[in-house]
Amino acid sequence: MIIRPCARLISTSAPSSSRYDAKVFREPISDREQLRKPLSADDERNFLFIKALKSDETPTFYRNHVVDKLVRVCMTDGRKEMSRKNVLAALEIIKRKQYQAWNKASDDEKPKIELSAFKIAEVGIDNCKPLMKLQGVTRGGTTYQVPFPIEDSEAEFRAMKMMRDICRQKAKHGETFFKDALAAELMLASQNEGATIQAKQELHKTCEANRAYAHYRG
Amino acid sequence: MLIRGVVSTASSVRTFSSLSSLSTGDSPSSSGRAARALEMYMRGVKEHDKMMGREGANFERGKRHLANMMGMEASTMTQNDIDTAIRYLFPSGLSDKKALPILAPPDQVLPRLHKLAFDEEGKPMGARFYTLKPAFYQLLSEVAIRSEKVDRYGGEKKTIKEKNHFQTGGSVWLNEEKMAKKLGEKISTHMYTQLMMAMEHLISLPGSATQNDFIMQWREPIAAGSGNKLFGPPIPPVEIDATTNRRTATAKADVKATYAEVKVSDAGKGEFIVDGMSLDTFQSLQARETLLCPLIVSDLLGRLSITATTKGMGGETAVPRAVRHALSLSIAALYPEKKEVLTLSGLLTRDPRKRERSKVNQPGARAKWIWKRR
Repeated sequence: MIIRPCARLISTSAPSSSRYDAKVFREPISDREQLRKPLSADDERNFLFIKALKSDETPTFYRNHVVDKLVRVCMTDGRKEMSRKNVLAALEIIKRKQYQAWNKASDDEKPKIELSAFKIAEVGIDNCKPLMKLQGVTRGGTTYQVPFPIEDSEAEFRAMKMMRDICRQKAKHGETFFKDALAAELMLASQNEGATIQAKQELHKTCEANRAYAHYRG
Repeated sequence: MLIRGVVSTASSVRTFSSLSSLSTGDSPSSSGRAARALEMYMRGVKEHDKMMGREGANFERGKRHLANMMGMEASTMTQNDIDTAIRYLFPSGLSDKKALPILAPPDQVLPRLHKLAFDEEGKPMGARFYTLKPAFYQLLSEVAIRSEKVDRYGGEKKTIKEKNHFQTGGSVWLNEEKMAKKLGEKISTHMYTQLMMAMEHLISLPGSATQNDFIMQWREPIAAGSGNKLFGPPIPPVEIDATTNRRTATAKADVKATYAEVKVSDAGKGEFIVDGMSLDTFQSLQARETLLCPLIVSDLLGRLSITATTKGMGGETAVPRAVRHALSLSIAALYPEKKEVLTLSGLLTRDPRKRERSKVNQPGARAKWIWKRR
């Protein structure tokens, strides 16, 4: 029998930023089309480790970037399953409404009606993307709201966040359900209407008004 | 001839005196100094050999004692047995390996003494002896010769293959310390930088791919991901099931504190059993996606029969992830042509992420309480 020395270890080192060492790990390929293409000889992924695929990136045929991101943005306390249920329920409501409208419509109206709920969500979020953002910059003890340019992924996030906050406000105290509010908001946004579009325009207006602070950037 | 410890000091002095009488240009004082240096060197070699003999005897004696204590036969004791015995007899809580006691043959532990080569007349072999760093300058000139060869060779007539550059991906130059160890000589940072400049010049030339073997001697693969190594458990062997006569692979994997064992047979009808339950008992859509992920990626949906058992903490996402990893490993075993796709999509990698412990005086692992003056 071998007695293993057992000492209680007290960690004194600072926590590392990632469990994956940035020197030897690269991102996995989750797109099936890209997977079929061969890698070039000098690609780093030939020699390095690949990170484990995330659970919500499985390459299924219905994988949709906007819906997945919306699920993450709408999540509270790490309950992603609950959030996914809400978002998918909202998409179902949209699908039902569109299909009802399609049933009622005349034959020449029918091809104009969008039946894909995923498509409507994509267009709706795309319409809500702001062009600028406001960020507080402190100069001489005063904080100014300074307009900054924005990257596409952040614009998408801010659009989703605005929509989420409006829907949560609507669903407060059980007035409606979050899924109903989200469905209504997405459908309106896809027509360039609704509270989220208004919030976006208001943001643009404030950015325009605060244009004088632009030199505080950077 | 290599001078060994058995050569007496007197004879070495004699050889040198005959050598100095041959050289005409040397002043007597410098030759005297050189003779003394050589004498010192010879004495050093002799002492080193004596010491190695002593340490070797000590090692043998220590081994015999250990064998006695552990009730083993000294002659059949391997280094592995010695290590185990030392770990048992001297348990230690120290985590640094250098702080733990060892018993090993002296030539593995003690620094090696580089002996100089001399010819019949007692002159050192090779003109680079007088540079004091013969191995380093040998390498430097070899790099230069090879660079010139690559640069000049063929010119316009080079084929496309001969114009290829050396592929730097996946490997890095040996660092200063390792380079010095490999050369067996102490080199300064300045010398190392010079060597690196020469090497970089060599690989910058079109056609440097022809010198691949030489260059790779002085480079090392990037620590982990080189070759076919996987981060995590290896791909299991394929077995033939005795009853069904089908090819079968069994792999084990873990995520956080959940352990999964998956048995996969080919030529199945798509059965997927996890802990005795079928796939539709998983309520969560993401769990089902995760479980089917390796089959989707490798285009094997409905062609295998899969049985998984899990134990440990479990959890909504941990169980599917553990099963997914073990399943991917088994698929890679049964269908080696799918291995590359599975690797690139990150399915053969063990997920090292774990819950980070919360810290004292903080509400969480990273979160801090808001600082207020009063």
